[in-house]
Amino acid sequence: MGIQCSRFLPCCVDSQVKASVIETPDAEIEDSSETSNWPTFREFTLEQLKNATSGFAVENIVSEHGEKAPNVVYKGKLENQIRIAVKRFNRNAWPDARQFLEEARSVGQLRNERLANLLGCCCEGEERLLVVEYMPNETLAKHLFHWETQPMKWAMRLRVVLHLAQALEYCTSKGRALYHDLNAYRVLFDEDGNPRLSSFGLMKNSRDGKSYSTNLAFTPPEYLRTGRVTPESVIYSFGTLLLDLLSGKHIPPSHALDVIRGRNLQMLTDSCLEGQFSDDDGTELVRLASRCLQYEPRERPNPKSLVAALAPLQKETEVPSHVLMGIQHSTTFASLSPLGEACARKDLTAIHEVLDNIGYKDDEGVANELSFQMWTDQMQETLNCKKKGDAAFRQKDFRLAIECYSQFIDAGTMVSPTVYARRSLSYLISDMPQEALNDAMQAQVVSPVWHIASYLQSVSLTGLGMENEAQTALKEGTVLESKRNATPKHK
Amino acid sequence: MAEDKEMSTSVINGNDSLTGHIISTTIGGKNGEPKQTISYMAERVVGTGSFGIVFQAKCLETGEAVAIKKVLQDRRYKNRELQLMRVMDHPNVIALKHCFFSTTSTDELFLNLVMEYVPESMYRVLKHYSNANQRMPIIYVKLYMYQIFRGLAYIHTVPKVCHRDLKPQNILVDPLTHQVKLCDFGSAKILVKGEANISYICSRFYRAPELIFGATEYTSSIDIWSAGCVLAELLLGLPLFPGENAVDQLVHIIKVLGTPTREEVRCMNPNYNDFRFPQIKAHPWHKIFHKKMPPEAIDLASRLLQYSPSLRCTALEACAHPFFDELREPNARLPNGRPFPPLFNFKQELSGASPELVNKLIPDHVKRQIGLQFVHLGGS
Repeated sequence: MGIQCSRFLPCCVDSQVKASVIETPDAEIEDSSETSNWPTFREFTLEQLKNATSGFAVENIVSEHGEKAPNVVYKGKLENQIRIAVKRFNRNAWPDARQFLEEARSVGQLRNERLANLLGCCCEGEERLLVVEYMPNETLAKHLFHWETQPMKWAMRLRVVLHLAQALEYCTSKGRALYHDLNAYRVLFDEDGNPRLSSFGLMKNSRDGKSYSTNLAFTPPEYLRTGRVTPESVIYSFGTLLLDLLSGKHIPPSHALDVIRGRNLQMLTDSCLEGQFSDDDGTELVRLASRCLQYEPRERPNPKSLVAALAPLQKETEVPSHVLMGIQHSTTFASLSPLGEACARKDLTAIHEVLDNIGYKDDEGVANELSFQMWTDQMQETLNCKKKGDAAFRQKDFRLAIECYSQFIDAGTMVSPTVYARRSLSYLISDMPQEALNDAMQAQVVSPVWHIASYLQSVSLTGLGMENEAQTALKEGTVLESKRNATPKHK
Repeated sequence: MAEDKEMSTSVINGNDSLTGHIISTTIGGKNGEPKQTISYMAERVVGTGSFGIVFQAKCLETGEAVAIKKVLQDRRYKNRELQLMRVMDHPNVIALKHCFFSTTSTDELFLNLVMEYVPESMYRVLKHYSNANQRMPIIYVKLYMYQIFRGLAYIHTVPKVCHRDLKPQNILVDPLTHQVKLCDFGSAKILVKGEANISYICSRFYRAPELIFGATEYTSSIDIWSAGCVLAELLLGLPLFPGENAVDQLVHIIKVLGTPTREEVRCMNPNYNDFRFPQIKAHPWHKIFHKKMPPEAIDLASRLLQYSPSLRCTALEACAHPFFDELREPNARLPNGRPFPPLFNFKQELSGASPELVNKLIPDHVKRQIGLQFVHLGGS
């Protein structure tokens, strides 16, 4: 299956990116889209995605409403260390497998730095899954409406709307102008704190290809009349996003237009923005919003003119987004735990000491598929291997430890994240970072929120010269470890 | 208008039991007016509450039906409801006809508010439809809601009163004329900017979120929220936010409007600093109602039911909403062919409104009529 689509992909993706470069007026895009090399769209097996998400573990759910939501999004990590988000549709969403594949392949050809790009899909039996780039820094809704440390700055709000307009312009230029349910939850922030438009909104099932259901709180007026959404409806929703960014509130667009006509900007404006912008800037954004919210679809602007209108309004363009947002960049760390620090220093002796001390207590609660076989001779033999391995590990005879643990793992009767972790460290000490990484990944598959698995991945990745990935894994380990310490009775 | 309501109150010693009892009182006798005796025959109890009791009665002299609200009178204070009722005069607000004091054998003093009698309440009308498993025809929703807003526009702008307990039980409906009147001003108050008010008012399903957040500097927009809840209930046949307690009430609101944003919480109560709510997305407004709901109805509901109190439209703006355009058409009639109750005889409530708003509120055919009258009067 995977071969089928990659056959035609490399060439056309290349040409598409270039085509978009010609049209975008922003020089910044040109540079990065030419240097970025995104993986081409591919089909995944269900097994691969299960491994990537630790068996669709509840701990990896990143969408709202947990397991009960009709479609659930999980975070995960592919074997090649790429972080992903996986959307798992409910059974009824895409009854026609062929239609799903066609849509996914089509959206999968889009590649742009303003999008959280669709990397692949999976279509096995009744399962329908989409795989996109993982965005670690939450949604626009969170930063705008439910912020915790600081409200979003005016300069950043302007950047968000420009980037979104650019994303829409790109999608439109590629013939995918129909973006579904454009709202503040569809905008995500990447590693660098830059806003990206989720690719999920580009894919929605429809029986006739024209009528779609919508989950927008405030629908475009033509939707209520005809049940249809058009590219102009997307611009209407963009108008509601402009209102969101200006007001920090959910205002019915029809009502906002009345307020705007009454020149009552004060009533509309987010109190957090006081003193951050001039009346002219505010007026310009409001003028643009009212054009997007025109009752007649054909009177609304197109994405290209949105970009043209928003580009000159930009502020503090030299300040990186993560600084404006007050987000910890992946290269900076707040504080590391002693174990985290040992990993950062690649102090294998210290790590060995920690692993030896904790013994097997982190294996508690890991589901072991034990059967009556347990009491057979084979079982006993396997347990003996582990015992020998443990003795060798303690005495720092890592060659022997690897040998014994391998026998235990290959027998396959029991699964132990700790054994994987110990063999991983043994490999690291034996200067075999690739093998060490594989084991650390396996440990995470079995035990999804185990900080030690992340830490060992980090050290292994450093060994492989993958510095950025190592930093991310270290950060992940730190987060997991602090979460674990926050809940004392961890199972 | 206030002058002709000026009535002397007299104390009557009454029997404690109500029904079948005749109460006599005198009015007039001031400024040389002749004294006049009025007698009421109490017929049946139509409502009870913590305030006291409301009974239906008949005036023996005129044969007119009245409702008498009898409340315990604290001798130290003036009765606020009486003070407010005395100054109010609007077709969509229940009228006070008369009042008197009475005492009981235990020497308690009661205030009796004699009001016009309207046989049905919105609560009973709603019940009638839900028992028949039907929804209220949209023309009645328009007619009733319009008059509710007209009543609110009057009380908010002329005597500057906030009702503070608007709900279907307090909205009376005449089943023949379909005229609507707001009643029960027992919680009503003139709200003064900068002065604190209690937040534990208003019945649960109809309580504005800022009251749940404990705001004390709220405005008349709490009545607009309640009216929005009534609109949704007429459209749905069921309360939109049927909370079981104060917290559950907020949960119901959040399920529809989504979690209030930081800014919206600030707008509701600037002193509220506890932001631990689950993050819930707003439910699409069009999915709350059935498929054939007119878009104007959905639009009006979404404008009334907003977290930010200052963003809710005013009662007069609500009257001008396109949802009510059908009522302004020249040949609009009740389904039985009879004319609507009066809908456009505005008075002082238009004084602060913009010319555009006034223009929208008075349909062209009514403007022409008024114009003709002027011409006619001028000519005679």
